[in-house]
Amino acid sequence: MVAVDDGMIGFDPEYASIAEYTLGSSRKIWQDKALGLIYTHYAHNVTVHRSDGETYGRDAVLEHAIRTLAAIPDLQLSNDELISSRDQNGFLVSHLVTVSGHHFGYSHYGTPNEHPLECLQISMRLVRENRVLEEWVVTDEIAVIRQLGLDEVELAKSITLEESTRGWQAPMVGLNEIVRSSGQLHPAIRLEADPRNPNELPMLLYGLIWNARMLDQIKMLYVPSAEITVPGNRKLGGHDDLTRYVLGLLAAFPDCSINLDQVVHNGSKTDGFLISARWTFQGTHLGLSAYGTPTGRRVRIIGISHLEVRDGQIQGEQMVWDEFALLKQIHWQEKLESAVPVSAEAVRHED
Amino acid sequence: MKRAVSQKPISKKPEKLEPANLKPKPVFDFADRPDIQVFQDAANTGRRQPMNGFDADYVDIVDYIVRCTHKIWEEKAIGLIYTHYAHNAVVHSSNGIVYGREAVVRNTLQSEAMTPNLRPYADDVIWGGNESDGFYTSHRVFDTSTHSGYSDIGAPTGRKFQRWVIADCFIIENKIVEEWLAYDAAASLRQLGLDPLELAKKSLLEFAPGTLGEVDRGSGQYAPEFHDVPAPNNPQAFVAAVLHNLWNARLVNMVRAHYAPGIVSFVPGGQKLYGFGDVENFVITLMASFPDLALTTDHQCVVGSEARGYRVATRFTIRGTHEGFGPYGMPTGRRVFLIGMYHQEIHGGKIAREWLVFDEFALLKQLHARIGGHGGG
Repeated sequence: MVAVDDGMIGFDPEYASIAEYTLGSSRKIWQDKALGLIYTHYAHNVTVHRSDGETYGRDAVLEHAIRTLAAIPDLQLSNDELISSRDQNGFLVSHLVTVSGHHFGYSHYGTPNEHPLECLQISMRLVRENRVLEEWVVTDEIAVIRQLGLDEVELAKSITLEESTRGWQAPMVGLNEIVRSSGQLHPAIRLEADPRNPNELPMLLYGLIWNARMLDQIKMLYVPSAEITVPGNRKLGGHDDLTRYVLGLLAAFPDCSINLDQVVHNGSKTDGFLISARWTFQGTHLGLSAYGTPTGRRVRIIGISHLEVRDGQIQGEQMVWDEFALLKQIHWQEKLESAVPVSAEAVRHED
Repeated sequence: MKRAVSQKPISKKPEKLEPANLKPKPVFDFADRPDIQVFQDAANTGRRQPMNGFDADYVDIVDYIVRCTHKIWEEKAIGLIYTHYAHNAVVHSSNGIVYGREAVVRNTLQSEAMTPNLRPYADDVIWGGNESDGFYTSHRVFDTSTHSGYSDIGAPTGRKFQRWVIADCFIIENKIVEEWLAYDAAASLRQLGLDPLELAKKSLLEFAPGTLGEVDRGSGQYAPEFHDVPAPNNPQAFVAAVLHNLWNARLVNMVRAHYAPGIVSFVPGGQKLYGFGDVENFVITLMASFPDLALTTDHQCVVGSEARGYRVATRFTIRGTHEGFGPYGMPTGRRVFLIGMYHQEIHGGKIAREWLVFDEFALLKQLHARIGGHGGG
């Protein structure tokens, strides 16, 4: 019999560790389609955070899973990477998977066809006593949209028009000052942080490269051969590629900032570390870029990066965030006037 | 035959907890995020804290709140309001006062008729008090439901809506004797495709909300007081001082000093704020609309610990005169009276998450409705 980790109290007995829980439950729910297990693996009042906003409650998780599996009935999750830590409030698990399958069913992408699709997804979950209490999900949906042969900007416009017509509010992105420093004072361009410390390396990454615009630090923090995966299943190779990518985003959103929200890591100094960094990107679309002419729209995106680190340098990174959610925020369409429902006054006159 | 008298005299003997050889389980704590099934399974397993006069199935005050909500609003045992509210219960909201148990029943019927599939998820219960002084609970709820029936806002639209609600209750012997209620009505109206401002202009107020007497914030020409902010391990006083400085002394720098950089703040209008900039601007916008705005802290309770984080519930009243520009239309010069609640989580000495609930639709009605409905002048 497998010894039960003492932190596994309250978990179903077949799970001897948090890794078994995560891999086993995702296989049973997504591959074996035991969707009802969501009832025993998610808290009834779970909050799921996406760049599009929050969904609340277990029933919303179940509905989302059914919609996804109806669209992609042969969905497979593979190439798992797990990073987890534990504290008094439970386990924090960051789970990277490759989602693959075919668009055999109906979805917001349209009618069924046989297009294959594949994308990266990271879920960071707070788990306690067999249940996910809170979850942050980032999916590289734009990769899927391109694989289906759809135009991502047209789709962003048509989906948001439909959503606003149905009374959905525009994504909550804020409109106010994006704080990187205090007023006219500049952000710190040097930080007392040790890249060999897995808790501190992400501070350097986001604090210096992204927020202080110290792109020279890319050479310090990444090995020259580092392979970085970014949305759209794009692979960046080396310092120049990454520098160009960061510059592209900084140019599109000149006031942008990335705030580090959570760090989870595993490993040791000798074996190297795996780090999961969850962050929030805020910016205003004021510059020319691959996203087209500036719209002046404000965006807020959550992202999770899995970093493979050795000797204080990043060997590889999966930077996962929902670029399609960003396009929806940039191209959000207001509802058509004719779609406004009858007013309450008109209703009262009926009776 | 004479029926058993329901009002038993209060027994002087302390109530029995679980069998003497067993230490009772701790009171339910939302930091442990108990599942609704865990509450269901705990029913009738004995008290986890003394609570004389409460129905036998309730194990503690958190359980009472969670399961009586389930029974009344999900199982639709609406009649249980008769045993869970005092006959002369008072329910305060920014719309005024609802008096008496029968009115609570009536309002519940109306809202259940409008949205029978309401799921009032308990997101947190922050509480204080005890069986002899009465319990005080601050219950944060996330409502999800479908607008499938008739109500004061008109015919069903068939649309889904969701919103934050905070209900504070003062409870004595199984009965809510006083309640303070705030919900994000503006968010739900917009989700139904209705414009809260237009609806507000079409509604009637029975009376003007308050007089035009001075809004008390300081003493005459003197500056408002600046309070020293105590250490966060005294969470109630910490929050009270931060809120006073922030709202009354206009020290908006409290945000950068005492909030975490990644602050997530849920505020009225279904908005989720992120970071210092959003929180600062929310506060400043409200103060710009109501330049004499004053916030009084009316009640606080706290649960949690330094290690797992403190959760502080603060009930407040906002008063102010609508003399500035903001999201509530052109200045009307009218006075507002709002009851609201803050739920704030303190981690590592900083406010890391907060929920701020007040009723923006009630606010719009106070500003834009015609005054003088039935019962009014």
